[in-house]
Amino acid sequence: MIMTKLLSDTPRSAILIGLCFSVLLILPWLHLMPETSPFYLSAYWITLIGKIMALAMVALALDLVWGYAGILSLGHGLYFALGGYAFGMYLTRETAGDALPDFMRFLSWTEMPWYWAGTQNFWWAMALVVLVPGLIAFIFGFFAFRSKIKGVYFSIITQAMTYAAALLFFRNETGFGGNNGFTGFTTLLGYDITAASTRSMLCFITALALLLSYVGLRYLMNQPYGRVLGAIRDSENRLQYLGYRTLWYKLSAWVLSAVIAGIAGALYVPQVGIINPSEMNPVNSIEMAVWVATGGRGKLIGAILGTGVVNSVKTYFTVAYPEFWLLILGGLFVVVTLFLPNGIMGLFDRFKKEKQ
Amino acid sequence: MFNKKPASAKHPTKTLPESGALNTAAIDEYGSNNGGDGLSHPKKPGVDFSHGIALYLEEINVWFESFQALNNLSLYIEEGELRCIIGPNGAGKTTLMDVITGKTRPTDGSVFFGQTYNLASMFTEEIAEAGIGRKFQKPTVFENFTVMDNLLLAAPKDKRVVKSLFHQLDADTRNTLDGTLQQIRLTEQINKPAGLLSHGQKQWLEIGMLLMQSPKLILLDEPVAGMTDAETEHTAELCLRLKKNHTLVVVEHDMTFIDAISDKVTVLAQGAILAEGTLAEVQANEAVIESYLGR
Repeated sequence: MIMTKLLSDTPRSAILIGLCFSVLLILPWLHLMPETSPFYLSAYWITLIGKIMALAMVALALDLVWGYAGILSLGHGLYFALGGYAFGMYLTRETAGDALPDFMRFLSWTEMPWYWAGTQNFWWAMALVVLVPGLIAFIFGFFAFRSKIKGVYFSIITQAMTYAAALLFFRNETGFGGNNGFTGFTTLLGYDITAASTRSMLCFITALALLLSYVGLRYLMNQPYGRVLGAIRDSENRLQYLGYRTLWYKLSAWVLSAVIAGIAGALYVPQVGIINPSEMNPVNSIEMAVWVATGGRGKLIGAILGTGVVNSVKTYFTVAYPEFWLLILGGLFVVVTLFLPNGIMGLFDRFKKEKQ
Repeated sequence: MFNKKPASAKHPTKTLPESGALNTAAIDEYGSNNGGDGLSHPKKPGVDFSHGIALYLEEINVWFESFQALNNLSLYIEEGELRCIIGPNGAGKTTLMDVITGKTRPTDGSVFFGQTYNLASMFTEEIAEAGIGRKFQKPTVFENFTVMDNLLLAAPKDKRVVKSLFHQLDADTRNTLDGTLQQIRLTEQINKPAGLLSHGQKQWLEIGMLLMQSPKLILLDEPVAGMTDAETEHTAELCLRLKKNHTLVVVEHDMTFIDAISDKVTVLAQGAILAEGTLAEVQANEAVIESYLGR
């Protein structure tokens, strides 16, 4: 009973969602089957599934602020990339061993910048994964929300933020590998990063993180906290007359969202094997909003579904018709906005109503 | 008779220099000097009505560019009083409510809630937290939320984020909720989205939210506008029930309604007080007749 409540409102959908998550938790291990087995999944598929699950976490994070609190971020790629960079620093150090990372030697630097201190330590790197996006989101959110910046103005600023960060990270002097970012990782905690077992484990951990984010956010949204966030979306002023200090509600949701995005980035990087400033490209962040809109805003499961659907389509089209992908993405956004204001989840709800 | 201040009026921070020092310290701590950003959470001492006055408005002027909405207005609301405010359109009634709830800052003058809260330097959230609730002219409920969720939003005493994370519906809140639903006659609509309620029901729901919030001072801006006679009658009953435990300020045009609930009526015109007294007294007042009918 409690188990089903954790996953969905109705037992039937809870069973369905539970089954889907079980599949996601099992899939990673199919990579360890003998290659002749019909169940074997190649490294390509494992990486693809792991990657999409990490992106689905970002979509969950975005749905928290957009779907519930009504704050549209067009810059969540920033927090995703910051988490990725923080973990990439650890992987780079592990690859370089006691020496300076390659890109620093190419710049003929003799010592590491101060902010690289301690990044050879896995746990410090993990702490950075949470702290850096969290702190930046806190500072930015505090001033933006305190100045009562709302709606499209807020979205534009988030967009500008991620673009500014991309420009900063492009510079070699910033100390994050410039244009190329970090790549060529070899080991993670001493394990070969390309080994089948490491890949399976990373993919499994990502599935677990996605499940935990989903269950955690679902719990939170069913508390009074979720109700207050929804009320902020509908009428923030009215809520203030009831005595709510909405700033702290918005800020806590914003920071939590950034942290989840950061963790997703950290899970993404070792699986795809590269992090560079293009992750901070504004287009990436806009795409994230498309995932959430496609799945259905304000429905956590919708965010995951939307990410899965759009990225599956993307994977197919970028191979089959690469030149049309952006057109298709734009077309999808137009179709969803015009005909599916509540996304795929809204479509389900409509079917359910018609049945009754 | 008219425009008479209660004997204990005048805010003591202004009139009594020796106790004034003490009070000013209290203001700095809880009212005016909250860091100024509306962020801090002072330990709440509860509002202090020791002088029997709930609300002090002294020599308030509000200018919007070259238009003067309130003109040197002084008004004292006693604790437990139900004060009706009437006046022609544009008299400044809603502006007065805005000044009390921090939506509009007075150009000059002082606004005190009890002895310690200086409303002129507090934010809307802080004023609500201090114990002033407001019902708006246009019903403003959360239309996508059910009746129950609307009421529960108003319920918690402590509205901080941490309290909203683990809070479950306790027996006390449940009882208040049931009682309130009965009073506002929405028990059967408990799970209906507020947006689907009739106009009158929305007004009641908003009053219900005030009942849940249970503020010390309640401001009602035209609570019976657009209601049928039967609905108006019920709303009057609600107001009289509210009066038992709360101080109320009601702005209304409907004279039958005012007649049913009022003790003391204040007439505003052109941003200033024209007359004060019982409804019969002000209705007989020459200046009042002039301002309502003269133009």
